[in-house]
Amino acid sequence: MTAAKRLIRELQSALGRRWVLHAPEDLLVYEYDATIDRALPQAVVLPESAQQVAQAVRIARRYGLPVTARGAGTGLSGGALACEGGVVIVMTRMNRVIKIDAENQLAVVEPGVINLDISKAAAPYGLYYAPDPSSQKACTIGGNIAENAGGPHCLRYGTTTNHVLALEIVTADGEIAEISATQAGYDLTGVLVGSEGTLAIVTKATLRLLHKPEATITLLAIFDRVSEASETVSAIISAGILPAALEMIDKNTMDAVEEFAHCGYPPDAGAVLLIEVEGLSEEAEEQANEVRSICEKFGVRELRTGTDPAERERLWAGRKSALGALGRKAPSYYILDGVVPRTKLPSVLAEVYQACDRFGFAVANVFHAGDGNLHPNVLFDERVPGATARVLELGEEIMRLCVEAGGSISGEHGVGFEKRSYMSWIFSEDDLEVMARLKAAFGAGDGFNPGKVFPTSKGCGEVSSHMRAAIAKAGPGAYV
Amino acid sequence: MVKEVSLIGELQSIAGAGLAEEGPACTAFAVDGLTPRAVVRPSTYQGVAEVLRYGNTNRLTVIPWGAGSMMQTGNRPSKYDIALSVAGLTGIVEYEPADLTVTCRAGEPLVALQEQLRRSRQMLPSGPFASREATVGGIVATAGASASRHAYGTPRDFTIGMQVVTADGRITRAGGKVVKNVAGYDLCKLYTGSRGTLGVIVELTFKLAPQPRHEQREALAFDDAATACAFARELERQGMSVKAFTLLNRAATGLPRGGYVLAVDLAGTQAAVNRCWETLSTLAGAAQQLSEAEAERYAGAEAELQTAASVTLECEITVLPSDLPVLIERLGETLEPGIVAYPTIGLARAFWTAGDAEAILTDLTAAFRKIGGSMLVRRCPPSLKSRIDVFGEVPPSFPLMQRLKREFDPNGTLSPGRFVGRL
Repeated sequence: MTAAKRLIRELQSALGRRWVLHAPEDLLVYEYDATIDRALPQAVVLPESAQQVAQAVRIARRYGLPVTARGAGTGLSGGALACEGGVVIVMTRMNRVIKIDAENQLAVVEPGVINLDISKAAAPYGLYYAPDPSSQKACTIGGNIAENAGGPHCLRYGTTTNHVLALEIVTADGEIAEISATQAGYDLTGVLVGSEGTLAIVTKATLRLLHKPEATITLLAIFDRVSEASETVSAIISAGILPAALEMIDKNTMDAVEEFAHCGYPPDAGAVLLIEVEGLSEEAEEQANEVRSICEKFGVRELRTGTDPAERERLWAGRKSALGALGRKAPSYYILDGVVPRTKLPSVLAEVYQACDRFGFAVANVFHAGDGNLHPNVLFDERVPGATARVLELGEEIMRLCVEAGGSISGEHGVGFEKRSYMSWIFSEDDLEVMARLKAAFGAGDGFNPGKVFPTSKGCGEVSSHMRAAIAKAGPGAYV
Repeated sequence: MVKEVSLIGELQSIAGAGLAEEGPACTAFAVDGLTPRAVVRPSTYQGVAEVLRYGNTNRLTVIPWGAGSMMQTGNRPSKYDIALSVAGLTGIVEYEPADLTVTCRAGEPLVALQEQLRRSRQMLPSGPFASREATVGGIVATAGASASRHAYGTPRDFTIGMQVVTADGRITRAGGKVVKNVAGYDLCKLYTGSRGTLGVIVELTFKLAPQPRHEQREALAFDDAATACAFARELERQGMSVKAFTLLNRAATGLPRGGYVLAVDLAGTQAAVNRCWETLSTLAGAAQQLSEAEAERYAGAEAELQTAASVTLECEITVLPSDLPVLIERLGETLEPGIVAYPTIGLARAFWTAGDAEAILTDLTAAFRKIGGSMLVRRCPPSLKSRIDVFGEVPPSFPLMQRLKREFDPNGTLSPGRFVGRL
């Protein structure tokens, strides 16, 4: 029997025949994520317990094969792709909310639970899970932890890392370990979050839940120019107001959304801000009034207010359907994720438009303005010869703009393999060496999710010439 | 003798003649009765790096110092050659209020930083701490948490970037200067609370918070801890704008009547604070509400206990918030220590001025096993310290922590023996 067959046999005896996929047509389903790149694993397993995860890891290790954990595959940096083949462990069967401890405001969940389902389970207690990546109806908490996922409401409540209290993990040697942010010693939980599946596989998570605010007010502010909108963002933060969310949509995005979702955006408007304030009703009211007068100071042409859930939902509709709507503009788009200090937003945004003009591509910006987290979506047609290469070149230039402004190469999508080569723009060799020490301590080597985070010369799967992870097929089911 | 001379000579040539000392100056840098052979106060990051490189190469151990206000906590060092003070590395490096972030050197005292930030109606959401000298580097290195943790979290939540000098003397960066950043491993989390065992923090970037528009302190008396804790949680459930809840027992307040005082720090807009006050008054009843003067008096109670020389044993215990009343009750049975607790966090600090510390600890450890959580002995008699691990039982993931220490500090240069499991 060949080694490949023995591997399958062993995995089957550990997990059951049904939960080990190895036929080419079955594997195809797991060779992609929300990017257009593909990498075919040798086997896919769907465990139902931490013990089975540990067994699968031990078996793969014995065969010298790398292991890549996978949730819903909504990632935008190629994090769930088995770049070097091996075994993909799909966590979607481990999707139980184990416990909601209302008194202590905790949820204990398995990694395959869908983000939004945690809030649904907590809702009867007046609680919810705060980090809300735009893919929250589909993405899993395990993937959120791996990427340290963000979302619109991270402005006030922080990203995933601020809400993970403890983890159960399977280490590279197939051991199950418990780590907690409150236990004595080093904060291994904090280190695990955002490690993109390269250090360990999360099999259980304890999360912090928050009480739902008494009042939430959503304001939609329409501006003639992007510059007015981005100056308003800075002014709100300077005024000592920290909204729950502060999002921006530019003209190109509005055009696409308008055809699709009919939000009533004026055809000649330049940008829309979505500003959400919350807290006690008195506080929310007061903040909303202040925000209104700041918007007026910067020449807002129209302000809409939503206080009940239905009204608020309507105001959010344009933002939420933005990426799906872009499919009407172009067959492909490249989703970028960069961060700049908030005060640099107006100037960097202007430079982004100039760069796109220079390259001859349209760009649609829809992003977390309050955090300085940009998401330029470059629209193009992949079928045009040379277009992909040009778009990648443009993407690199935009990333450079962010770094030069004192920012970072990723705010929430992760480094994956897409941005490995940019790591050296913000980190020195010594900085990266220290990260490598951390990885060495976890003993994972290249056993977990190889080819991610760190600069290497190897490509991923079919992609060998250039990283192009976040070039997504436009259409519904895409998020930013 | 020759070696002694060369050590101080070497340090003086690294940091400058006036910035390295031996002899009597070292007494102030003693840790658990061990006095270093020399103290050095580099004025640059490069200086810190050279001291570490020198120590690491020559197998000399180094303990980093800020203001020293938290140095009593930790296991006895296994060896202690050089006290490396970053107190000279002060000042703000970069502060643009509209970015709501600040970058400053690690030796900057928190109080001084807050003064600067206050001018722009902003703050580092940390503290206050008992010591006015406490440096931001020390607070992050010890993951120092205060009552405002209820609203703002701990240093791990608002530290977004660092410069850290490694044991082998490399100046490295972790994180960045923007509030959202997922590039690479989040090493800031690793260094936060690592108590000078993995590297020396020389610069920090923080996410700031706007100053609350209005603050008001209320205090209420309760007969028992359980009712007080339930009261705090009810305010929390109703979404009240509370910055901090602090529960104090009779021994901590010197209160003649009642058993416990719950201090509630309201913070928000004037209208929100008024509304919170109304809710609190309705829930509590007039008899329980203490006067403004009394409320103010309790504001300093925790700091007083933390700095009181009469305290012989101080423990910090973290449990699930729902277990806090049981814990407090149990603590009260051990010679009634002063107790300061954060009900919504599940954290209690107990201060004993009398009794046999070892007997108390033995008793507590047994009780504590049933409740679960973690316990840190912040202060105890030196004789006891040599026999216990002040961080309690090593956690299940301790082997991983040992590997981390070996990777980051293979020679055991930094604060050897001080951390959990005598890392």
